Amino acid sequence: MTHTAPRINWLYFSLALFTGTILLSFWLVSVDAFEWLHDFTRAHEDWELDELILSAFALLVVYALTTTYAMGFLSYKTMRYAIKKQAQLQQEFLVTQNLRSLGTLFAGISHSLNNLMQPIVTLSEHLISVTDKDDDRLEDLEIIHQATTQAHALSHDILRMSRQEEEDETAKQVAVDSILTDMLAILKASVPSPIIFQHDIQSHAEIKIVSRHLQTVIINIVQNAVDAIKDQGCITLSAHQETGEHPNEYTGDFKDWAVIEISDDGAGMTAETRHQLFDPFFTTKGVGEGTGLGMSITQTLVQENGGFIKIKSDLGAGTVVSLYFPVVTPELSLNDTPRTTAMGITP
Amino acid sequence: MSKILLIDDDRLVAKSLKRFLEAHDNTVITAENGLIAKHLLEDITFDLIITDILMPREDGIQVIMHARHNKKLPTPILAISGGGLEDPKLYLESAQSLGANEVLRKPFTNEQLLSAIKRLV
Repeated sequence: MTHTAPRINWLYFSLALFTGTILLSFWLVSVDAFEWLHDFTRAHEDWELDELILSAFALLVVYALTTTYAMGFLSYKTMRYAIKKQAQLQQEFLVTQNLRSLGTLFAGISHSLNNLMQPIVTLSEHLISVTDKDDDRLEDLEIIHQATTQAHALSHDILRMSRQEEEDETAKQVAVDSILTDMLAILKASVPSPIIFQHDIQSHAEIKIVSRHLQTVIINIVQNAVDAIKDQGCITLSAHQETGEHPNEYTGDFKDWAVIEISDDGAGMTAETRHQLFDPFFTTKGVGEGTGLGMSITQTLVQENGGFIKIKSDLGAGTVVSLYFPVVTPELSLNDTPRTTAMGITP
Repeated sequence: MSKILLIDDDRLVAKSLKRFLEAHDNTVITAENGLIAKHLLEDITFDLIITDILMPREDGIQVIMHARHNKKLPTPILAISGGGLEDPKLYLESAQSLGANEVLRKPFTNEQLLSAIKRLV
């Protein structure tokens, strides 16, 4: 901005001079100035030099005034533009600064959380290994252990979100139906009972993905669906395959896509909400109910795995979230590796 | 079976790991910072040192430097970290480059811990 500002001023300066000259010429023509000057000199042949200088000076004053006015108007415009631009930059700076300090905060919190989770992991695993298989308490211990594993995954996600750190987790080639079927139990458990959870998984296509990422993505979206339904309704998880119809929004590649869809018949979204959906910290939920990070994390994770998201929603008409992942065939998976890295770049 | 020096400033981590390791027939002596660990290393010979990285007083990096460069101890060292302001990976990599034999990122599973110990002792 500091580099472009003087350039804009020079442009306006020359524009002002030009405008001034044009206005002056118009004025001269409109008062029939040359005729008038001719008559004037005829009539005042007896005038002294200083009187001539005075009238020339008067003309100059008119010219200067016109130019100043034009310049003033234009620099006012420049200034308003600059102020607006600066406010915008300031806001952008604040957002980045916010994210950065949140990143530092998350890093500190995640350190404490990792330390706190260590005793729970160690001792719950130890207790599981020494408890009799018939013992009723074994299930309790396993729940504690599962919860810790999920908590760890969550703190890891928050940290990654704030830092976009490089992952050493490797994407594995998996069949869509098997990975989704594995998740059904958790999903059913996370949907409260008045809401019906259905599934219709038809794709056996293979995709290359970090399974935990897909799990986080689907849980996030299903949770949003639950919140959108509020009371009674239905959530459907489905999967099918689409051939070459959609280019990837980030690379423009046409491919075969495995499409995972989560649809609900809940409240739906306004166009405005749909627009801001992926912005970090954007939430329609009340204080303490949502961080506004869910969909932002979701988008990052989907893109990291080479996919993209499409949303269809209208107020009162429910929402369909479609996740597109490129289908890989065993022969292509080797050539695919560099492409996957290129798609990993997030905006 | 093994005599282990466990250095961690987090009391709950130290206590839980001690209980677990003792249940697997190890003798565990805990130290809550690098300074105490250094004193213990003067008098006792251990089969394994497990150390956290970020600690008040003297940290895990200083313990590793002391053991490897001042005392020239051959004792295997396992570094563990949950990260601080930086990624745990960064702390663990520097620990490894200074002479830690194995590194684990917190929270690690018992299986990871046991197999690391098995490789070292």
